[in-house]
Amino acid sequence: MSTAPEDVRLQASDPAVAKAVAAPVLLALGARGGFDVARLDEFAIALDIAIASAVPGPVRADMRLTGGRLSVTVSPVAPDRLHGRRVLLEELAAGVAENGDAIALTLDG
Amino acid sequence: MAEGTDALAARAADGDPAARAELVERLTPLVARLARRWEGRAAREDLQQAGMVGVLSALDGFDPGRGTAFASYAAPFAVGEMMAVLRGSAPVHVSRTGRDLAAAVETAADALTAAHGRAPSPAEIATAAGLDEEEVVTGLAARRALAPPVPDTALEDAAGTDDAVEALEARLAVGHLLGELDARSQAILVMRFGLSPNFVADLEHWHYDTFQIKWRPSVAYNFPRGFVTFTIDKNGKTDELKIDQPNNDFWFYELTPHRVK
Repeated sequence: MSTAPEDVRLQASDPAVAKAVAAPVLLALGARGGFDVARLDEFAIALDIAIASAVPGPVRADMRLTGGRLSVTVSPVAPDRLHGRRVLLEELAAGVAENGDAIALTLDG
Repeated sequence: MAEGTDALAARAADGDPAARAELVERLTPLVARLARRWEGRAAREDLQQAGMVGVLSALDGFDPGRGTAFASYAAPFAVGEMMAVLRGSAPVHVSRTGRDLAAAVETAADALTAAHGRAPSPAEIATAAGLDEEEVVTGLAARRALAPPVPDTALEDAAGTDDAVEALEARLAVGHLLGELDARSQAILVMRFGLSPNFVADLEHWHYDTFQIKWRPSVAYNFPRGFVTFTIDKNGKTDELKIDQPNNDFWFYELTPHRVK
């Protein structure tokens, strides 16, 4: 298991591009963090949903693995698109926090 | 005399770019003919492009020694890719290697989960399956691409609405419900077709609400990989069954299954 923080910052031109690229990166970070595949799978779904809630146009996804915690922040998201999905996100990720136009998801080891 | 298509396919499979280009040109009319069936439901160019991706992906497994013409062998692959375009569920093509890794990861993960009563880590899967961790991650990513658990179109058609979220929750719930069954019950899902008694398949859990079709030897047709997807209603009862079995002879998706009890 990796102990040093590992950061990946991803900027995509469009949510569809971000979705295609971000999930494999998240899975790779999660594998390095020793998370089980069922939780990683659900966390990747949460990331899909967060990206699907993004405002059309450039999307940013900042991922970090540190101290047994995997986190990803997606921005900019549209509050109205996120609204109906919040409950589901909370089932799929250990932590969900909105901050302005960004949403942060966390998974703890 | 022009080289036969099968010989051309064999050379293309060996990595000959000229043979590959000629094969694409030669099979374009076949792909175009197949694509015509779904014109109006998707852009013709998209269908033909996807169909050709299917043709090229068929090169990996083509064995001229089995006596099947390459065009016949490749047609189901082309149809499968076109169907994926119609479903909007395959934005990324999954290579044969990716499909094999996904299957290896799935098999190892299921065995480890059954043995230890918990989901394994990618490192544990790597050890069990004889893969390295990068291959496991590739397999996990390919598995998501093959059976995407989040239908983008459903979310985008009804972005932010409760209906879309409920539909997704129902899809996820199938996997959870299956996990509550004992191992024997999980293993005895069998698909039968009343009017064709030889058509029998075991359904092996693949991902969430999706099962891989394992046709029994009584089925003479050599189908490529296929899937069955269940949906459940708000009461947890099976609501719908969809069969996605690419092939050029039997149009399973035209069947309308009915609950009998």
